Amino acid sequence: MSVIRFIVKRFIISIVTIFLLVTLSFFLLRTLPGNPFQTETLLTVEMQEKMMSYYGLDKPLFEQYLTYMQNLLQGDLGYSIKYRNRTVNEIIATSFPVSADLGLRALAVALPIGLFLGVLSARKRGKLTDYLCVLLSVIGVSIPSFILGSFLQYIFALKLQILPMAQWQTEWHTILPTIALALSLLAILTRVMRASMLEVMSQDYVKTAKAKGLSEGKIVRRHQIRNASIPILTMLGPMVTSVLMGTFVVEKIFALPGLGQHFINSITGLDYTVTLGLTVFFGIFMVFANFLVDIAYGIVDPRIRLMK
Amino acid sequence: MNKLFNKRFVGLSLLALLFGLAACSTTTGTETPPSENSDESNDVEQANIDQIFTFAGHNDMVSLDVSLINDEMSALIMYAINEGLVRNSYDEVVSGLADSYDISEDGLIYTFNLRDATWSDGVEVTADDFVYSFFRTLDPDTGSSQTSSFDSIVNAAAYASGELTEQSEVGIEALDDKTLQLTLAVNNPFFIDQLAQGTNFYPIRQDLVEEHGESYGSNPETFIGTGPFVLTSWEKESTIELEKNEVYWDAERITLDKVIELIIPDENTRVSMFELGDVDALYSISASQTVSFSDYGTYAGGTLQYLALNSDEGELLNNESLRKALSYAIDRESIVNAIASPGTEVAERMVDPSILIEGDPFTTLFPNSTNVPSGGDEEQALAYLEEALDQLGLSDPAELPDITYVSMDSPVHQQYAEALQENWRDKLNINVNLSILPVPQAIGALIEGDFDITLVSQSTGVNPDTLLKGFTVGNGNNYSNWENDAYSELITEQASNQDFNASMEQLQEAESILLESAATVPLWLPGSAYLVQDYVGDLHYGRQTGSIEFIYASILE
Amino acid sequence: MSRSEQFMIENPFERVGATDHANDPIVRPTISFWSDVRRRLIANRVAMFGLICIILILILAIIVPELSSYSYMDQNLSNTNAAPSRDHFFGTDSLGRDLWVRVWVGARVSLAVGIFGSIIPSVIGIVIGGISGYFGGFIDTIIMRAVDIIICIPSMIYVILIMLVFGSGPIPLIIAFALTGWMGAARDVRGLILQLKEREFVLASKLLGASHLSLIFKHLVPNTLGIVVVGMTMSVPGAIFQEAYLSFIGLGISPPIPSWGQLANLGTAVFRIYPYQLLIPALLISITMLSFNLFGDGLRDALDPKLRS
Repeated sequence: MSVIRFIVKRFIISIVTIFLLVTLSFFLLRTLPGNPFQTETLLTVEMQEKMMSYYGLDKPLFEQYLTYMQNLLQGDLGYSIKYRNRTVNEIIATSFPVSADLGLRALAVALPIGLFLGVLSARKRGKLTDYLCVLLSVIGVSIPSFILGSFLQYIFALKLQILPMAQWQTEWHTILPTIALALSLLAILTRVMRASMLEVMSQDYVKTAKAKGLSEGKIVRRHQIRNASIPILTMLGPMVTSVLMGTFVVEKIFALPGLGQHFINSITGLDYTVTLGLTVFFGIFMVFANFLVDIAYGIVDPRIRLMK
Repeated sequence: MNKLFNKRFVGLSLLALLFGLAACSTTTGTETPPSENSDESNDVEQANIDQIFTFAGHNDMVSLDVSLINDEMSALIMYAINEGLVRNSYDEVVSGLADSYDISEDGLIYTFNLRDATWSDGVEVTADDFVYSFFRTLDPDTGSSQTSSFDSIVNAAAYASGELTEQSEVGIEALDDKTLQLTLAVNNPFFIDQLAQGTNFYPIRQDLVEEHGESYGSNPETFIGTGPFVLTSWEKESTIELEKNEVYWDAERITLDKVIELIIPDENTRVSMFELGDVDALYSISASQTVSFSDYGTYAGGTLQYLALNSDEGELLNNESLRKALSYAIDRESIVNAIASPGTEVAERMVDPSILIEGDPFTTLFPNSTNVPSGGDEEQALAYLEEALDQLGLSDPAELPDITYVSMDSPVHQQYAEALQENWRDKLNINVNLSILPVPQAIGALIEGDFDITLVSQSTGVNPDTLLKGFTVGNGNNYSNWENDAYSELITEQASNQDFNASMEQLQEAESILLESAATVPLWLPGSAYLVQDYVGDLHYGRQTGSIEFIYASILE
Repeated sequence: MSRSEQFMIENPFERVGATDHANDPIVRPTISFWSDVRRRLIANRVAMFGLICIILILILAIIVPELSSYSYMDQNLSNTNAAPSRDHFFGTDSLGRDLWVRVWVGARVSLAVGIFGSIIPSVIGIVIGGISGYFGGFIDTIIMRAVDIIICIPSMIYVILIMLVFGSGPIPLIIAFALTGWMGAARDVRGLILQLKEREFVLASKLLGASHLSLIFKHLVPNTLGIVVVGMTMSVPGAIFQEAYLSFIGLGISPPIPSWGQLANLGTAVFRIYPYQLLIPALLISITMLSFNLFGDGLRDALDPKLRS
């Protein structure tokens, strides 16, 4: 019963959150001045006015808002202003799989390695292994991705010619962008896991387990890693969301047809419908991810399970 | 997602890699002499050369809907998969779907005789396809931003604005299945050039529009064309593939079997792919990238960049002497040499020198110039500055109110802005604030008059009046907000003047008024560099697309 | 006050005092918490290396532009893209400006954006998170839902909006970071406060009649400061990074004032031809981030009593 009530309550809160998110984004976006019907060569002013009225952008803002909300309720995110006859739903349907694919690959690389290095460096605290892990993790967060991406391309694609330069076609094409994206994730995960392990290692229940004579391996597996991964879980929700939603820099450098490019280009190009549609999609995904994380808490942390 | 850990893919690509290597070594081993003449190249057996041409573009195309497209990327593909009445080939107007055309004595009635051509699915092309297309573009319900290309045609503008709904009153008519007649409002000798250059004048299949509605032209399945190539695949933001259209009326002239466009937004990536041989051609290369290539082509024309100085009443730059001071201080030559793309030329006036009147450049027939040396004239500039300060009652340029230069955020525009800012600081000791904005906001500021100086990039068109007609009093495109009644009168008179030569003279006179006022400062005609691998033949860079024209290209070895 | 006075008057306890010889004498000198932190920080060679790098960069950023014979905006269009030489230690850029000076002027901008762009959002986050965590219940729910929503709105929208209102310079950028960056700090502080407010010293202060405000900002927040300060050192490179990222997109600080992000971005465009134009700013960004991270790590180890070995 209480589980169902918990889920229902979370669901209602999520709906309200998303509603407010859409409303706020809608009005914020429309306070941006500027004109979406432009490229670098100019349209005449009359033509711009004509286009504004064609898209209903000259109507009162609140009326436009109501129309948008009505369509949104039916799952219709509208037509892109730039890509005239493509709907935002279509754009998400073609671009999200690519971003999600790349994001999952990067996570699949970063998560196990990051956690492993974190545990390793915490257990070897103060030794050379620890310093190497820390150094790696610090380097990982210290190189901006547009520099890392360019260097990877330069070395592996242009000079050594062992991997393709760009685009998203075969398995070989996925390697460089995955590394470019995974390195910073890996670095963050290593740091958090190390800090969290160090914290857990000094806890009383670990000492108790030792006193009970549990084997070292069992203590590490059952007591330390399990408890130390709670902070990782907390950050995993937002991390997974942002990684799956695509990253502009990596997508641009490696010419990947992902969501990240649409996100940035639609904002700088004032393609209202695309920006709003992607924000809604992002919001729903984030809420859903956090919900899953909450459930995962219960599985990992016995204390939380008891509380419910 | 479906590709996740797909082992078969790895295997396949490994195989492909091996085969690719093998293929490379065989083609380099057995060379066939390159055929010089592309018209005959189809007769020559080129079995062992894959006629596949790959190039990289920086952006995806927007749409396949002839009525809607207004961007360079869509036009580039549309020109290959569809065709108009006439075609611009190697910068000359040649026949397209119209076999021939007649122009009436007074230059007002154009009659086009269509050839026996078919759409790529075998359906015959009729004059009605054009009539349908033109009216669809003009129809206010279509929401096209390109209706002004039809302005020369009788009543087209009225139809587009919704004032007129009767199609028979518009000068677009199918006399029979194979004859199309267009009636102009005034004699416009540039009309045929406009027809050849604009992709919005291509035909549209009514049955497809009715079948697919809003999604017409959003993917290859909803589009059929008449051009030398057929669109076979369009993976959004990734790859566009074209294949030769076997039923194209001039198919014998087409050598390429397949054209692939890769969408690569990042310039470093594009250039690296060219270096690796992944792509056969690139265009719009920035100045810095050309340094590492000894052999590249350049192309100029089609666009003019000028400074609009906000001359509105109450604005600081309402002062003509100050505008002149700013204009004379600019060293355009050094800026062009240092940062502009190769092929960029310093502009003397508001008309593009590549605009021809019966073969002769308009600019030599009707000369005009700002008289500002291309390297600037510091003495003259300081003299004008002194004059301006006197008029404003100031003693030092530091006392001038803030001057804001609004620039778009593209790297090139930003660099121009920085170079110009330094020119004014260095020579006149005038501090100009830069405001770098994303494109929509920069254009918003331009339209609202919320700037002192801004760089405007405008297409020069095929008619010398394209830019000049915007500077009349109250015109929405008069970005300088400059008001001169004599100028406006001249422009209005010349537009309806049926005597062509006299109208050009009026245009020249008007232009000299504008240049003398320094409300606009013509800067340069931006050029563009392109790279082509040695083994590609007959690739052209021209006016039709403003970039590469590949339909007659071939792979030589 | 009144309640504690009451305690004083009717104190049921009697003070008996302590005899000196009952205690063991303290042999070692007493070390306060902060001097211990300082001692351990100084002993941490890696962290000290980071600190020295930061100080060195700061000194160069202050001195170099003052001493150089070039200004960051002097152009020389006849000497563009020159390689590093004795005249121009780092070469010149595409407009012929001296990169040595531009890099150090850029350091001023980037460090200012980095430091203020991380302190200001942290302070906002502490205040909001503190209030949210302390009061809990309805206020907490409202604030945390608001955070959930605001975190989902693309920050680019604010950035463009702020740039349009305030122009494109370091200060608008810091404002933009303040508006978009406080949510993380608010969440962290709230979590910590939730734990801390059940602790005995809070109960004691409450008992002594401390007001809500003094409880939050005198007792609870100072206890979170250690972690927050570490978070701040770590987010300095984050802000520098974000400025670089905005430059990559074409937003950011308006020319001719350079920033590292802008220099790196311009360098990326030409790095195959003039690699030094990218390598120098990229290296400086990386060194700075490395230094702040190493120092932040050391600071955390020093601040955390549990990690005392």
